[in-house]
Amino acid sequence: MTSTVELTKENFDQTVTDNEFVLIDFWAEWCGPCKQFGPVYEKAAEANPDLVFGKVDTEAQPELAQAFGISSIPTLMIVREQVAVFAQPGALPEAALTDVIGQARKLDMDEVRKAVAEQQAQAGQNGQEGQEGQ
Amino acid sequence: SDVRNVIIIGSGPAGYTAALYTARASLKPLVFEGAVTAGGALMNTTEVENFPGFQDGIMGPELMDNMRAQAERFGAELIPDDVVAVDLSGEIKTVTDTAGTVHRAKAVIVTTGSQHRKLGLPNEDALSGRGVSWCATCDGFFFKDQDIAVIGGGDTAMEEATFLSRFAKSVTIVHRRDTLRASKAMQERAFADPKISFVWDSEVAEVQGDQKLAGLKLRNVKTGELSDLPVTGLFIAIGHDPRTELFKGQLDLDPEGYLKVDAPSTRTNLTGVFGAGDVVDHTYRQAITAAGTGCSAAVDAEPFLAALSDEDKAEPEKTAV
Repeated sequence: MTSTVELTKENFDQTVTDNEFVLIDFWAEWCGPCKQFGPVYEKAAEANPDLVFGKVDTEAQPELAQAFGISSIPTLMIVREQVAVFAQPGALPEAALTDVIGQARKLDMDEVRKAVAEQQAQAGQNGQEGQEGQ
Repeated sequence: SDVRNVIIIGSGPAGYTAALYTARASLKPLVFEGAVTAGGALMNTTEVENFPGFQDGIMGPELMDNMRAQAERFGAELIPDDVVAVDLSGEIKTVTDTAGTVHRAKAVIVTTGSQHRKLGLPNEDALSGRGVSWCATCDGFFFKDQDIAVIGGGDTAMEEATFLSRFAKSVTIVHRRDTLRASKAMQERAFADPKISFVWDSEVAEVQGDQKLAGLKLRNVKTGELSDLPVTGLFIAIGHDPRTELFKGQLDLDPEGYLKVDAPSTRTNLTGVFGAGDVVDHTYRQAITAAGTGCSAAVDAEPFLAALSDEDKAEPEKTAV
């Protein structure tokens, strides 16, 4: 019995669109720390049955790894309402993972979306200024 | 309430070997393997060619799985958790896990190993996972056809460079001296690799990049001259520091932070506390030497515990007289 979902390029978009809170563990067979993190992640999945715990095998799914600019594994990503609110490489210990999940649960997504929109607006403006400068 | 015979902190070759020997001596060891570092440094390696008894080599993680299973077979209790606090001074030693549970034991064997030394440059952490990597075997795959730098001149640096050259367009080894510390076999393999080149007498002055690693600024340590090395991957293998933070103020450490033992025994300054593996060892730092000293620590702990239990047995008689 596994509580995690294998994510592929076929089901990835559907999964993050249909679910409000998705965790993603980018891993590979050859990666020792990933194997250490596996059971920790599995345990967290059992403890949080209301959330989706996805796994991306970066060897089988190079497109997904590339799309997210993964260059170190394991990397844990948390996507809430289609916004990546957390992305960090390194195998988290159990207590730290519990803490990260708790913090992500507490996020006010309206605030997050507002911040993202502001950032994008600013980036857009900077881009324009840059062009004007030329 | 119940006091264990022995707690082992750490789970590399030293920890598992100490566990194997104390388990076979019916001491029922409790082993804190570490939450995510179980198995130790060999978990991040590929082929181990120099562990005696494996004629064709063995994969590092497989070797550690075997050692773990062998210790477990004889009754070692293995806990994949970290230790957050210790009190080693008294006759009964306490070890606290991340949940705050306090475990008590008459003897403690410290085999916490070492951790990667960092460059100590501003961007190093920020770009970790964005081009800066600590594990070539984990991350090499993501650097296909890219230009990579490996920092360091030891066995680890050569092993990583040789491994990475399978994927990379080029691998540049940057070393702050003009000779390598690595073993002859490793050196020759690196020198023979057409994708590997060397920058001698140089150190990293700057790790550059905003969202992703863009390149390095190198400084020649002899001339002070600065140069640019455009790379998208950086693997740092400049050595290790012992993991002894937990024991500061209790166990005697040398100026570099290594645990001091009364060599050739594994006794530390505190009675009933023993040290083994890379946490003690500046010099050899091999899987086989770690396993060897792990065995020594178990063999040192046995008579110590036997003497304690003799005292316990003697006491009621004394009171009877």
